[in-house]
Amino acid sequence: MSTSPAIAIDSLQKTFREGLIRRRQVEALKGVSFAVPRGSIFGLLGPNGAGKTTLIKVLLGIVHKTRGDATILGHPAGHRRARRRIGYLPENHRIPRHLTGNTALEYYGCLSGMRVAEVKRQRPALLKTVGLEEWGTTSVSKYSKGMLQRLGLAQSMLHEPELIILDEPTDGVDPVGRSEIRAVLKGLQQNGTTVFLNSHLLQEVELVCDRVAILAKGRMRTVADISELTKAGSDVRLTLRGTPEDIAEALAAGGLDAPQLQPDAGGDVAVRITAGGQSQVDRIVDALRSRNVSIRSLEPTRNSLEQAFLSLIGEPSDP
Amino acid sequence: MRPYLAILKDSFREAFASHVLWLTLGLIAVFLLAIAPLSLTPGLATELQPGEIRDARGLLDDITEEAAGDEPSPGKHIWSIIPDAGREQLQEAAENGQEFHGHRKGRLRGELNALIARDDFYDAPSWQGVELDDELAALAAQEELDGDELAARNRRLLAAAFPDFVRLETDEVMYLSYFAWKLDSPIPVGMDRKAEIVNEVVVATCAVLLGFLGIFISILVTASLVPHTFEAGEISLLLSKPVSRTLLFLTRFLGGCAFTLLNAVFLMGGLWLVVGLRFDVWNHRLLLCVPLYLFLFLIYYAVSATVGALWRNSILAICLTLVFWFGLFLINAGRESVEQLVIVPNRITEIVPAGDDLLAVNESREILKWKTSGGNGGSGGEWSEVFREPGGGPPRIARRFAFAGSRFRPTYDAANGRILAVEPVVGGFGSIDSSQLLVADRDNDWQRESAGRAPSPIHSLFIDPSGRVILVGLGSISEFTGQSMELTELQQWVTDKLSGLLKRGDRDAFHELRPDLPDWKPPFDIDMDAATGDLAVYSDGNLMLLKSNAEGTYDIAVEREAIADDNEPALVALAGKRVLLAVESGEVTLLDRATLQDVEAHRPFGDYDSPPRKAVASPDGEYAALLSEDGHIWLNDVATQRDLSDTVPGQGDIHAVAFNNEGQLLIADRTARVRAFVPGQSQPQTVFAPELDIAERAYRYALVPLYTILPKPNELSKLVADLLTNEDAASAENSPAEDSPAKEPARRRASRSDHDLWTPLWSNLAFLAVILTFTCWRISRRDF
Repeated sequence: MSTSPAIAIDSLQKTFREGLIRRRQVEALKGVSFAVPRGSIFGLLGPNGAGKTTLIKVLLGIVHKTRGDATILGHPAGHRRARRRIGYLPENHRIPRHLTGNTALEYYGCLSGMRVAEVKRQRPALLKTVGLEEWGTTSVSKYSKGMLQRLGLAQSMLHEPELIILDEPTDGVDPVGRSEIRAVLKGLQQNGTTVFLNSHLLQEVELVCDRVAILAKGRMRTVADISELTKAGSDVRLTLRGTPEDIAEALAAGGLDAPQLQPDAGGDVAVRITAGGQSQVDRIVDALRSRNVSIRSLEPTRNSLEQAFLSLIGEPSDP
Repeated sequence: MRPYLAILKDSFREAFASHVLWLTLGLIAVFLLAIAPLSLTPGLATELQPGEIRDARGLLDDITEEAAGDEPSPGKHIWSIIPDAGREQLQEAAENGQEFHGHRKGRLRGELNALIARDDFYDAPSWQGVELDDELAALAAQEELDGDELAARNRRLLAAAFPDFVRLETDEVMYLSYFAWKLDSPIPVGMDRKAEIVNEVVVATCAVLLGFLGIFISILVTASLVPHTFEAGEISLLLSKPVSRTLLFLTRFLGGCAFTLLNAVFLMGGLWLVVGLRFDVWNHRLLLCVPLYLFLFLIYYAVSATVGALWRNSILAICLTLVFWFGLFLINAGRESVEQLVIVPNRITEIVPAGDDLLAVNESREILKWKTSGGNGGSGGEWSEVFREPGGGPPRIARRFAFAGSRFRPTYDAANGRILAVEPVVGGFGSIDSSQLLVADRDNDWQRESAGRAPSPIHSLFIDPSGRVILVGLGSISEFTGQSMELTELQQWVTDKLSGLLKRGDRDAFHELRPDLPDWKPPFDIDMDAATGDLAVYSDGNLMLLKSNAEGTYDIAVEREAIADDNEPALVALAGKRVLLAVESGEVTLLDRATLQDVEAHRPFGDYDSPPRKAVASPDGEYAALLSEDGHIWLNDVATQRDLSDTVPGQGDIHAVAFNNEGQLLIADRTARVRAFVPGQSQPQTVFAPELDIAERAYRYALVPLYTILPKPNELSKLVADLLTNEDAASAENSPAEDSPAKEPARRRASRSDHDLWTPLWSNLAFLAVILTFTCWRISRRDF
């Protein structure tokens, strides 16, 4: 397997020109750079209008880049040889309504260069993988949104591509289906397939992706591993039992200024503290115990991807 | 290749999934089943058809004349059995000398048709002197005939009795039957023309069902295919596959024809089977019409697909395609209307140098004189009509069509300052019995006067070097010796209204100069050497040179037989020491004038691409020019054998050619522009060009350019019609063994006709290529 990245983007720019007479310029991508390692599940995050779909279309050659470089599987973005090795599930895709599940896979398989016999051999297992094994002969006009997404996913995997690009793959899929799709993606990764995932569902991304790029207003905000973005912070969550006065006194003795206490109906008091280090935590524990305050639980807190995302896109976009 | 085959396969899958397809196929099946019981059965012709009575007036006169005689005769017998009321009306018409057209002719035909159904129509003594063929004589002897057999026999007996006035087209008719029902009115043609009739009906059926309805439905049904393909959700997925955008569009475009193809194959295949099985007319060209109609649809579908690909809107695609269809119709109709009503009637067809003046003849047979409005040369002026008939004559459109095919070329008599022309005199039922010599003097402001009537139809009129007016027809070379004369009002009326009765003409005014020869036969052409008065005559494949002798009559100087095929039209011109002979097939031969042996041969316009229309030579014989039917001129320097055609501007749009006395080449192009050139030079010496009116400007600068660049689906429809009905071409292709000399010209003409008809295919193909290339270019640059 090649060690070069599956996708390499360097200073990629895309400017759309709109309007017939007064040509308005819209900068969709403003010098985006990142790389997607082979065999990873890579997430692309960003708010609406960030340029995520444009970026994917540039990679596939559906949209022409304005400046910069982008290679995909070692070929220039949009190259036909690269497309032969890519599976793509677009957002809001439309499968012609005269097709059935089986004929749709035959159609898209042949478009990817497969022989009909080859498609027919792989089709049953694939339909089973996406949960459509009993719907192969049914017209897609009778499919639900979720079923269409599953069929779309199946067609993207049909020719066993090296890279699969999924644009909102779980859109319209029920929670069980999402879980199944996640399992499918993990399975693909195990087989060495690179997955490039664009999704609004941060939890989805957090659950399956190894690494993410966050895009906002056409600019790259960060590219990092999920673990990096969600690493443990210095916050500690305590659940205590004792009088508020004793708790406040103990926390003050531990060097904290009047943190907010949240008593609950059962008599427990929850408090979240930001400690300077383990020694301060120890001091606070000692102070609490010395005042007969029971420590029912003590747990360090982690950043969620959502927190990281919101924090990153909240930063000023322009340098 | 596999991805594109998948797209094509998907197009058929989509077509088969369409309810509309099954609906249209069902309708076609119903139509085919509905026409399947039709059949044609032969029958005997039992009635006279309108066209079979060639001269109703003459027939009635003959019948009444015979009726007045004492001897038994067919006319006398027929007159006797006509019912009293009918006889009285016919008698009245006969005595009043009324014209026999329209209802009067119909009445006579009705009376005769009623009579021939009667068993007392034939009376042996009355037909005693009538020559009957053996079969008819045998039939006449049978007494037990009745019904159709009786009427059919009597009809033939009538024709045999009056062969000058009744000419039967056929003895058979066809009856159209539906299941067991036989339609009462027969089709008045024999079974030998069954294929022709059936093919005509099939052409009309195809034109409506496929050429109009089929294409209209196909436009509606297929309009959404390309827009759907280019919708955001579908095109992104397609373009992510390893396919080329251009080929994706082109394949989808071709796939969009699946619906039309399936319908066309079903309809044409079904028609072919039904027509073959029921009428025994196996016209395999019907199957060839499938790709032609598909191609016709492609033109409109290209517009629909382009709009669909660029705007991704089905409704817009339908609307703009229908607008395009209607626009093509309007442009074609507008172009043809302006052409027929303005351009062609005013188009100059003959140029006649007349001393210091320039005369021309247009398609409306008006003689025009150039009037300069100032400045030098001819620029800034207009054509004004001279040689007018007293009272204006018939409308120009009537003049144009009444004498279509007969040439009208005035000749300028420089010595007497007058214009002479001959005009055919139309006799009964359109026959040309003689020619009228017309004269116009300069002193009389070129007012036309009748100078006399030639005893036979005149082909050409010349002024020989000694100033004699020489008129040449197939059986005569005569010198006009009479004086120009004013006609009294009565003479004019007689001339105009009863021209057919004056068949003998004014023999005293014409002095015969022709040697004792059998009459020449058409195809015929003649030219006079203005310097010597020699005549070169081409007649039915033979060429001869006539020279004037001491008495002024003509003798044959040299003759060459079988210089061209029999029946092959040719033009002849005398050019100095050479005789130019241009045959219809396209070969031009320059012959030695003294021996009529070939000197050089050319093929300036290709094989049958365009037949020659006019051949002229300069007065000094140095140059010869040949004008083709498609408006090209071949100009040859006779002495050096140099082809000077490249120096002639306006090739392709030239309608008339002549040399003036100074040896300048005069050519007429556009509608009414005449330019004078020194042969071999491209810059005109003089231009005679009237200002264009609004209609001609619109025609020249809007309608023609648009018509040229836009497709011509109407011509494609004509190609379909010609394919199905062109029996000459069909038989020529199918029976090369029947390559008899007599059939050769017809075969060649058919071949040329085929060639011309295929031309629209290429022009339409060019349009398709342009619009599809443009769409592919746009798609390749576009972001989706």
